Amino acid sequence: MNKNDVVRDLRKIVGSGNIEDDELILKLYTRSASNIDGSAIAVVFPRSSEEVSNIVRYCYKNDIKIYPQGSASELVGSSTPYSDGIVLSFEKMNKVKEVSILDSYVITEPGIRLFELNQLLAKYGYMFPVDPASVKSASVGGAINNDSGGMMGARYGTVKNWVLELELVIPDEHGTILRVGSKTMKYRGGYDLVRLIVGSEGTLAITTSATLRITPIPENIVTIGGFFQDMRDLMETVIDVKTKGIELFVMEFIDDKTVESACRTMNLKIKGEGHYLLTSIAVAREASERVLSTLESLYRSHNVVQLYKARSQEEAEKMGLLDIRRALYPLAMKIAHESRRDPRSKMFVEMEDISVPPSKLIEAVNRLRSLEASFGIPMVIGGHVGDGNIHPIVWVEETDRDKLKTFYEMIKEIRRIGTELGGTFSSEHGVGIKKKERLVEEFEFKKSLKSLEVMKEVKKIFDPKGILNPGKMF
Amino acid sequence: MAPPIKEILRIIVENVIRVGMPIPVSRRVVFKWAEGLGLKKNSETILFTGTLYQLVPYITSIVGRLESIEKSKLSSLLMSFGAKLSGIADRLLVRTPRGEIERQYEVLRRIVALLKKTDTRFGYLYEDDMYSGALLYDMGLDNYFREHAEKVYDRLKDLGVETLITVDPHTTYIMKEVYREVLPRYSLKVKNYLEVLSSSDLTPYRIIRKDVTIHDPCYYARYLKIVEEPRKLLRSGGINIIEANRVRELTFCCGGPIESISPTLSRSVALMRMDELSTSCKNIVVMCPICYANLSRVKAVDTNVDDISNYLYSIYCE
Amino acid sequence: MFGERISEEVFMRELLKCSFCGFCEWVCPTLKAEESRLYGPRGRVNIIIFAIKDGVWTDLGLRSIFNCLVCGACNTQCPAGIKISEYIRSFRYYLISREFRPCFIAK
Ligand SMILES: Cc1cc2nc3c(=O)[nH]c(=O)nc-3n(C[C@H](O)[C@H](O)[C@H](O)COP(=O)(O)OP(=O)(O)OC[C@H]3O[C@@H](n4cnc5c(N)ncnc54)[C@H](O)[C@@H]3O)c2cc1C
Ligand code: SF4
Ligand code: SF4
Repeated sequence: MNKNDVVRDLRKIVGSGNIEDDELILKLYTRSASNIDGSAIAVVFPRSSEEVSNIVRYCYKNDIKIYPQGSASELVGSSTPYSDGIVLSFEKMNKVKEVSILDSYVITEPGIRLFELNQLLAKYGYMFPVDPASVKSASVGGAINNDSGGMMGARYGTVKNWVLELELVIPDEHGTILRVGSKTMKYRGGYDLVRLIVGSEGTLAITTSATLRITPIPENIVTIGGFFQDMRDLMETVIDVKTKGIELFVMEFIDDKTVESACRTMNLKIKGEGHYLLTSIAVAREASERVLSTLESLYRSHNVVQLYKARSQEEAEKMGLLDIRRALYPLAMKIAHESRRDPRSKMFVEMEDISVPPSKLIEAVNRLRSLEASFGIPMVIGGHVGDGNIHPIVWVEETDRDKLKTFYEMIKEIRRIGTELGGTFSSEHGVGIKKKERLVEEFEFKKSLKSLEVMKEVKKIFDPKGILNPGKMF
Repeated sequence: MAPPIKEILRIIVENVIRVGMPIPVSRRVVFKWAEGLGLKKNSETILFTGTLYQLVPYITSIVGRLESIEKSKLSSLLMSFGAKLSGIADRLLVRTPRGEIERQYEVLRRIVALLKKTDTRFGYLYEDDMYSGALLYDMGLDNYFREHAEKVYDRLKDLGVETLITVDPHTTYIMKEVYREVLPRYSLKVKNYLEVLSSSDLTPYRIIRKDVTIHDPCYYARYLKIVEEPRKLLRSGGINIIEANRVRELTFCCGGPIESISPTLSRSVALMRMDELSTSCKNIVVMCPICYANLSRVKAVDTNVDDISNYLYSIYCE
Repeated sequence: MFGERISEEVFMRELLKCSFCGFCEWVCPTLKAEESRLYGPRGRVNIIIFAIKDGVWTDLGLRSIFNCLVCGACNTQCPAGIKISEYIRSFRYYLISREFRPCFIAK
């Protein structure tokens, strides 16, 4: 179909202010944090589920591809329009519809950012406890479809534990609106379609509304941060804390290179050398001192060099105990840009996303370090050690053609480590375009290629014509 | 629809070249407020208004008019003739409400009264009180800005001025930071009156028990770090500050800076900010004439937007 | 950054640090009003990149650049430390001094 006709027809559905085909806007909406650029014929901003349904029906009839998009902060190409189609942006569907404290849920449209949702919930003393490092941009729709996790993942897990109910539009002939799940904590009505959608990267259905579970903000949180000369000591501390039956709230680390850059470039209240380990525990106020001293002695028994303690979340924030970890990605960007040679070229900074069972953490880190040595490409690491999720970050300059090939080889090897140690290459960032190949390899490694076949059949049921976010995942 | 950006820029530049200000008002508008206050003309330290308080009522009238043109969708047609717009501006100037002008003059008089309570001795330049060029700088009219800045600075030097006391965030930022960057030989000292007042240990004459919320201007809060001074001055006069959702470094702009380029968008921004402020308290304290104007045009009847100097005057002056 | 000191290279050296993370958007008043990426800091930074690096420029780009409040809220959020509003302001000068036609630098 002719591009102008499509734009004209869709304009009739959403109104003239809610569709754009200006060249600059198209470029802006076909890019994401993944560094992959795509292309599209229009960006459409629906305002209601009905509009989404009408758009989908039209696209089904006319074989037009649809790419749902939240804040485009994903890192794997899952939101990139792979080949011409329309981008469905949820920026204008950003209203919170209901907050129920008694029933512990919030009903919201998909476009609101997690941070803004939490600002609203904080007024009630509640929170939606999934806090990816990208909370300030990540939208509810994106977080659901990416099954995001965050620093509090050690305690609360990922999005999949916090979605009760979804309203969806599926890409069939009618643009059918589905309502799956229930507002209640317990629900056993057939297959669990809610959890099928969570993490499906917008390939099965379009999320137009979500009922999310919420939880009270803990009474108090104590935090300890320490610097270790030896990564082995740090990892042994992790394992020690985890085997002591302490319920973690946050457990995160960054390596010595990132620490060095942080101490040099950030305005921090804490200083140290070596690798940094941060542990937070949610406690009743009375128990604060006791828990802190238990943690302290565990840290000390593994040769911590400098150690900082905070008796409350405010104190921890004031000291910058959390900021230094939050800065992992920006710091890696900084280090990467310091090495840039051509000011007109871009740095490709890839944040990988492997998970291993915590018992395998030491081995994983050793293998990562030896990759760095053998490939000669610099790497920093950090991540959510509490749940075994490590983010190795590597970079190369766009114009450094010789190195690019080695770079992609190295990334393959990094991903392999996750799989081979009984974990995965994909913990919270998804598969998208970048990691399709590895998905096949991982199932091959598990001798379970049939699983992929099952997934493809599922996709066909939801999306018979293959028009919804095609080219992703497989 | 693309706004008539080029035309608006041209008008701003023409006015600054012609009358030294972005709005073509007579020089008397600038210094009339100071008549009868007995401020000395020759002084090393002067009160430098940057003419913003005086111009704001005129800007408001023009923006109101621009907004209705933008709404009527006639703008591309009407405004592609920049001259017509200048014509409109001229006619509107006559119709600018006296009350509003007087209100802004009063703000300046109160600032003078407050400064007189401190040890600082200062004068005023009357017909040589000048516009800083803030709008030229904001709009990226760098070459015109440099020319203007050179003129202003040369004149100030000729008059033997060493130190400026400024009264609004835009003028303060421009005179303190930007002139220094643009004019290598720049040597003036610049102090904001809130800093002067706050470092002077004034004793309150009256305690006022009132709840207010503060709208931090972007330039004070983020660029100049004038954040605690106004709070301290209000609190020691008994005022209870109820902080709104976004304050201090995270303050949310009033929308003023784009009032001439996109009056409708400017209004939407003001509405969002007003909503945030008025849910925390109906008494809103502003510290900038542009914030005052832009928030006032969207305020509800039960909401009260007032310049900080009026509060400070009631607290510290008889 | 002022006047003639500004070149395509100055923009690219700094703005290519943008990782498209979008952290800067939640504080932006014009984005909140327009509910569109085009009118936020991430949009503006990338519009400048598209104009200079890719040679793509339209009237909407002009509108977005001149609708920025230069309020600086975005600067407080950028993990790459880009002084976003200063570059937007400077890009206005850049546009004006080139009669509103940005110069496309080929790779
Ligand atoms: C600096 C940085 C740090 C990050 N840290 C983390 C982290 O700690 N943990 C983590 O999990 N992720 C992290 N991410 C990745 C990403 O930010 C998150 O996964 C985020 O939740 C994506 O949200 P979004 O709104 O940007 O979604 P988008 O990027 O727009 O989309 C993500 C996916 O969801 C789909 N989608 C979006 N909205 C809908 C909808 N309404 N209906 C159907 N499909 C939809 C898209 O098609 C796409 O497949 C990080 C990213 C960056 C840049
Ligand atoms: S400076 Fe411009 S882009 Fe940045 S927050 Fe303000 S309006 Fe938005
Ligand atoms: S916060 Fe900085 S890096 Fe992230 S999108 Fe905005 S400008 Fe780019």
